[in-house]
Formats: sequence, C-alpha cells, structure tokens
Amino acid sequence: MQHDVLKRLFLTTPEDTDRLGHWFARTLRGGDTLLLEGGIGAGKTHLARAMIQAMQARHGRAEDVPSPTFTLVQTYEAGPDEIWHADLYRVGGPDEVIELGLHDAFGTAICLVEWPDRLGADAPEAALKVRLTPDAEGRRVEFFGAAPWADRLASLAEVAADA
Amino acid sequence: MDAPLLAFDTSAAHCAAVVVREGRVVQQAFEPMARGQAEALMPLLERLLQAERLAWRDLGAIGVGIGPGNFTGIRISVSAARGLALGLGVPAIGLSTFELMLDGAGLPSASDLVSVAAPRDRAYVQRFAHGRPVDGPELIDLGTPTEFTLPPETRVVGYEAQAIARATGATGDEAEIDDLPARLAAVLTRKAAEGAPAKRPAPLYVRPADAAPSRDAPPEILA
Amino acid sequence: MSRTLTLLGIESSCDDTAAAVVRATGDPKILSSVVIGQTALHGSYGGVVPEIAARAHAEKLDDCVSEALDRAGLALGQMDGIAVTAGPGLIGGVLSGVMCAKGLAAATGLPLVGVNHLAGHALTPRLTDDLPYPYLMLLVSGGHCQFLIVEGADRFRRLGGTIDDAPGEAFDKTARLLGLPQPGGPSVQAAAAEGDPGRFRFPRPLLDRPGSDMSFSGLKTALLRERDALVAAQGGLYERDRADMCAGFQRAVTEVLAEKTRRALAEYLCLAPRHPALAVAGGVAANSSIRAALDAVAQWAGAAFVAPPLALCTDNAAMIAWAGIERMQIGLVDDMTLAARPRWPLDNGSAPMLGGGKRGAKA
Repeated sequence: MQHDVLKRLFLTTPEDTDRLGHWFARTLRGGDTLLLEGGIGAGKTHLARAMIQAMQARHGRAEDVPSPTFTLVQTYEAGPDEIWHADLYRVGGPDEVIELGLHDAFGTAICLVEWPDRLGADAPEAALKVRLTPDAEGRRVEFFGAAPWADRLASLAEVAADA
Repeated sequence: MDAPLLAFDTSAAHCAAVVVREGRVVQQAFEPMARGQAEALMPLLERLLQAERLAWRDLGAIGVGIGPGNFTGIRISVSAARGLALGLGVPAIGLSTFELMLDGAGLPSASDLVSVAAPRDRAYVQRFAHGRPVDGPELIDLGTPTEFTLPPETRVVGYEAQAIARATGATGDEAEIDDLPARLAAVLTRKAAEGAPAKRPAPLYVRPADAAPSRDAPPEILA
Repeated sequence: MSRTLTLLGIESSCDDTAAAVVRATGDPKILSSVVIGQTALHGSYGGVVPEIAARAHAEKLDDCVSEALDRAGLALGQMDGIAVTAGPGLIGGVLSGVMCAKGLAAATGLPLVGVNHLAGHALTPRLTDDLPYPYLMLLVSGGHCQFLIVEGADRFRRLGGTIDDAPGEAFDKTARLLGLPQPGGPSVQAAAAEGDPGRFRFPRPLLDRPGSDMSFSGLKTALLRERDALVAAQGGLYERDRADMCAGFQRAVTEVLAEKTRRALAEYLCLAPRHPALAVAGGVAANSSIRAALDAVAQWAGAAFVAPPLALCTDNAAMIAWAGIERMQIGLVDDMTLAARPRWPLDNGSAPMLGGGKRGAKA
C-alpha cells in the first residue's frame, strides 16, 4: 500500500543521523517496524546502529552493533524489548524472509529492516518507511506510513531542519 | 530379529521422535517448540533411548523428516541424522511430509494427490500412485484455481483437500497429521523393510532457493 | 607436556564446507584438511546467498567429514573428540555443522567441543608457528575486524576494532559500486594494481582519535560520491577511473590498518611479552598491499610478523580442530545442548566498540 510523504528532513552531518537515531530510540516500542530504504552508502546501517545503541543505553546495556550484511539478522535486547536488525540484501524473496523468523518478530519486537523490498507484500501494514538519499554532503530523509505515524513524527522537528 | 529403529522430525514448530522395536512403538515424544529445536533434539532422543535401555549402537536405522516444511527445522534434523548415520554405520532414511500424511489416510489408492500446508495461503502437493510418489512436489496457490490435470478418480488427501479437489474435479479427503510419532514409526518401518535407500536423506525443497541478483546497477564502463 | 589429542574439526559458518583432522603432539600436525568451496554456486549473485549456502552445507558436511577421515587414514573411532564451529556466522550453515557434529559425537561417544570461529582464526598461529601467549592478533575478514591480545585458548582481550563495516565488506561493496566481480577482495586488488592511488583522496576515519578503533563505512560513502560525480560529468566510468578509485580505496584501508596496528602494538608491548609477535588472520590478510604494510609496522615495533599460509588464513576446519584441541587441553567440552550462535563476541569482558551513536547528542 502506498502512503504519502509524512515528513521530510535533511541531515547535514553524521551527528544529525545520530540525533535522529536517538529520537527514534525514545519513540519506538515493541511491535514497531522501520523499513530503511536507500542504496549502498545511504546511511541505513548508520541510522539503525544509532537507534540500537541509544535504545540499549537507555537500559544500561552496551553492545557492538556490527553490520548485518553478512548474518542477515541480528537481535539485541533493550530492556523489555527485543530489537531485530535485518539486512535483506542477500535474501531471495518473501519465502526466505519467513525462514528468518522475521514475520513472528514483526508483531512483538522492534524491527529495523534494510533492503525491505525483499519483503514484497509481506511488509507490515503499520510500518514506517524511512527513505534515505545521499545529497551533496548530507542525506535527505523521507518518511512514509499510515496515519498514526503522522502524530508520532510531530515531535521530530527539533532533530534536524525540515527539508 | 530386527534392530530397533529411531525416527525424528523438526520440520515445523515441534520436536517429534519415536523408538520402534519389532514393529511396535515403544517410546514416543511430541513437544511443541517454536525455537530451540537444535538444543533440545539430541537430549530428547537420548531420553527416549535411555527409557528403553538402548544405546545408539543398538539402532538398525534412523528415520528423519525431510519436509516440506520449515527449511531451518528440516536441516536441523537432516544434519543430525546424517551425522548419526555416518557415526553408527547405519542407513538414514528420509520420510517426507507427504508420505506421513498419506500414511494416515487409509489405504493408498491408484492415484492420490497429497497436500501439505505451505506458508502464505499455499499448499505443497505431490502425486502418488499406489502409495509411491509419481512426480516431484509442487507449490500451488490456494487462492487461484489450479491448472494441472489429474488422472481420473484421483483422491486429494490432506490440507484443504476439498478445495483443491473442487478446482481439479477430484474427490477430497481433508486430513492432518495429528499423531506424528505414530506416522514416523509406520512409514519408517515400511521403508526400512525395503532395505537401505540408495540416497542419503536430503531436505525436500519444493522451490529452488530464490536468486538474489545484484540490485545496484553498476556504472557504465566507458571505452 | 599435554597428552596427544587427535580431533576432527568441522566448519560451515559461511560459504565453505570444511572438515579436517589435526593431531597435537609435541609438534601439531594437520593430518587432513578438506575445504569444499561454494564460490561457483554464489558467483552470479553478487555475494554469498544464505539459503544456497545453507542447502549446500546440509548435504555436503558428511561427505566432507568422510573425506577428511579418509585422507588422514583414520577412522572416526580413532578421534579423541569432535570440534565444530558454533558461531558466529550464517546461522543456517552453523546449525548444520553443529547438528552433524552432535550426531557424530552421540554415535561415537566422543566429546563435543563447540568452537568460536574467531577463536579458530585467532589460535591458528599456534598451530602453524607454535606462537607463545600472549601475542597480538589482527583478525580481518569479510565480517570481522579486530585487534585481540591472545592470552589463552579461551582468553582474548580486544583492544579495538571496526565500529561499523569490516574491511572485507568494504572491499565487497566497493566492487559492487564499481561493477567488479565478487568476492571484492581479489578483484579490487587487481584493479588497484593498475591505478594511481594518489588521484582520489579518500578519508581515513578515526585516525584523529586515540586508540585502535576503526571505521570503514564512510569510505564507501566517499567512494560513492566520487563515482556519482564522475558518472554525472562523463556518463560513466573509464577503466582508468575505476582502477584509480580502487587504488585510492585500497591505500586508505591499508593506511588505516597500518596506523591502528601501530597503536595496538604499542599497547600490547606494554605487557612486555618475551617473544613479541603480531599475527594476522582472515581473508583480507591475503591482500598483498595490506600484508606488506603490516609486516613493516611489526618490524618497526620489533615484533615478529606471523601470517599463516593463505589456506589457513581463510576459512578452514583445521583451525577449528586445533582450537578444539586447545580447549580440550584445559578441560572445556560441551554437551548436546550446544547452541548455534549467529553473533558471538570473543571478548565479553571488554567494553564494546561504540559506534556513531556516541558522537551524537547525549540522549
């Protein structure tokens, strides 16, 4: 299902991306899914890592967050929530996503999914799509999602300049 | 006297196992399990053997569920079975979900289409003649009418059998596998009596692994 | 002296299915080492396809074990234990290896030893060169990059490592961005040999910060920008551009690794080891430019430079058998509940390498 753009941001520096990650860390809860779109070097893993480490820090944990490119899925604990960080680049299609157990995680865990096009029609309806595009020295970010996300994104203004 | 047999299956969210002696089920277990089958399987098998005062070396053959089903779960059992078979020097025998389904549906007919649930509103199907598989398995979409033709008087057995039967003009017997250890025991006993199989058990994949082609267009290289 | 142990090793954590037999006496011996690669299976897909890898492992492992035993001229019953990679890696393959090993161990009554794949790499210099503890290890591969002080078979202290991508991943992604074949290590190195490393100045992240943490993710972004700028200006890339980019990229990686190695060595030498040594392992250690730079840094620091032969630097099962021997010698064995772990840090004691998040606002 297609959604209109809910919001646009411009991240000038890597620190802006970190701040966006910290904002998400305060906002996300179990059952939320972020679909992180963008090509190589768009900053998907950087944003996901910032979120995971900030969520863990809130619960007094600190762990490495290696790139999931090789292992496809890595899971983390943050307080009561489980975080799934997936990179579906090497996954063939929706059937293989089922094998990863991602569908079961969608309902309960906080799921951060890179290369989500591999989900096909199985992407959760309530997910927030975050599209990252390199632009000059910074990154453009566009958010797409169902209505509840419009409200949740309202407090995002302080993170970075609206594009 | 026939040596005892052991069969197990982790092709869905469970660990199932059975010990057969002289054609009779003497120990069995079925534990629902969504995760952790790789850790639980071997201790479960050892418990069953110990309860029967059997050692691994006493076994004459190993039966293993090869699916179709959950790929990861199937590989857990198949890898263990192949390791056991190599270590014990006994045959490992693959037991397909189709065979297990058909076993519980009365006497096989001249033409059975066996149906097993697949993810996302689909079914795995395989045709059997007199209890023997005829063609390879297929994946069909339950939402759209099936296009393959079946021999006259084919019986569809298993998951959504009546719906599939309606779409193909056959008769349908809805069935499910609700006594997996007993089915494992029955199919293994029958297949073990036929002697060691020519091939080692391998997971029954109904589709090839989807290719994941590169999705970033590389830059054009100029001459 | 420790007793003689002969172990079967099994490795299936990435795209190589491997089995080996290693015997530890006074002088450890690799009695056999079989590696069945899958490069041909994955070649056309731009990298390892996990499902294809998992299918191949499940159906090749027992053959691989049989062949390793045959080549060693030994029967399974003549082993003293079975060692298997229990992680980290692609979970499908690791599971197959662990379950096959459990089957073999149950059937034979032999001890089962779960080995961390990274420990396998890190302990290899003891198999090949009898290196005494403690030594400094740079483990640099497709999925990993870290400096470890290896103090014992189960004692690893991490000094630093990548906070984002591993260099092997950076090589692969560079190849992807430039339309070069996978795996990226050899193809980027070959292209770099024809290029001018001075034309593009790529960043050397974290060189301005103390310590031996590294970052390679920004390098990829910088390369992407240069590529896109050229494509926009001239409609594509000339071979020359591609070679120059590869050369610039390889130089940046080499310089970062060399400088961080120098710092890690300085920290390691504070322990005043009697036989100071720097060892490398992992596929990236096959890169000749990187290898030469590390050798030079070791010489500068007065440490021996130990690079095991390539076949033992990349994934293999001899290193798993050897690590299993070292674990058994100190009484570490596992039972049938041994789990397969996709993520398994070697050093749980030291502080993690914090990534970008630490630089941002204090949340």
